[in-house]
Amino acid sequence: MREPRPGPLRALLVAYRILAVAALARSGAQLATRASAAPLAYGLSAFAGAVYLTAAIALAAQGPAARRVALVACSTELAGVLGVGTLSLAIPDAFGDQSVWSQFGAGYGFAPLVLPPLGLWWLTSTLAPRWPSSDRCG
Amino acid sequence: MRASLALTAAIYAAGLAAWSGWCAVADAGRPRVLSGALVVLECALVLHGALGAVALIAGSVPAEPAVYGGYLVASVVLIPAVAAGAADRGSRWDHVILAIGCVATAAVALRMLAIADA
Repeated sequence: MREPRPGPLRALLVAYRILAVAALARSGAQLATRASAAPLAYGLSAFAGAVYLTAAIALAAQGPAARRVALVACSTELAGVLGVGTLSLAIPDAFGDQSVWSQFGAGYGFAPLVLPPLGLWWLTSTLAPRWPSSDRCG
Repeated sequence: MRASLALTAAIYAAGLAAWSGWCAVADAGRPRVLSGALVVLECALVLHGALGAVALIAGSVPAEPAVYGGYLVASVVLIPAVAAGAADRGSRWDHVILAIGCVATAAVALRMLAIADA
């Protein structure tokens, strides 16, 4: 029987799934109805949604490969929200419209800024010890 | 009526998020009243969703009908989806999950208000 997931991971997964569905659904509707208005912003939102979905799936899965994928996804999210967030404040008209990562995710209650560090924290804090403890060496 | 119902649902969901958050901090079991309050919230959201769907079908089109329709569906399914994952347990993290779902529901309700007013 599969071991139940720890509480913090379950909470993290719920937040990631909600954000993934919100970003993908909204950008999908925007791309379907008015893609030419702000293709960069809507494309970025769709990309962000895909990364959130990848992170949610990888965090839920077990094994070193899934952990690596989750690590890359969370790092991409963090780089994206910091980079796009900074650019959107420095050059407000650069994207044409708001993307998920604009203004550090203010449109999504700053969840895009908060989730990647939490995901990275979870991944690093649950790493299995690589070396035996010192008391067993001596 | 739809606007006032959405605003009421948003405020109510925010209140339930705070309550769930408090239960998580206190690490107490889930009070039965909280479960009942979630059912009341879901009933309000279903009513709002039905009214919104009727308005859409009747031709009362908000600024972004596709996005509004998506929010209508999301507002109805969010609480059951989140509560299902935290249904049979009453741990601290189940309350955190409920709080996340309630915050998301409040945000969706406020978004619907913004789109309907635009």
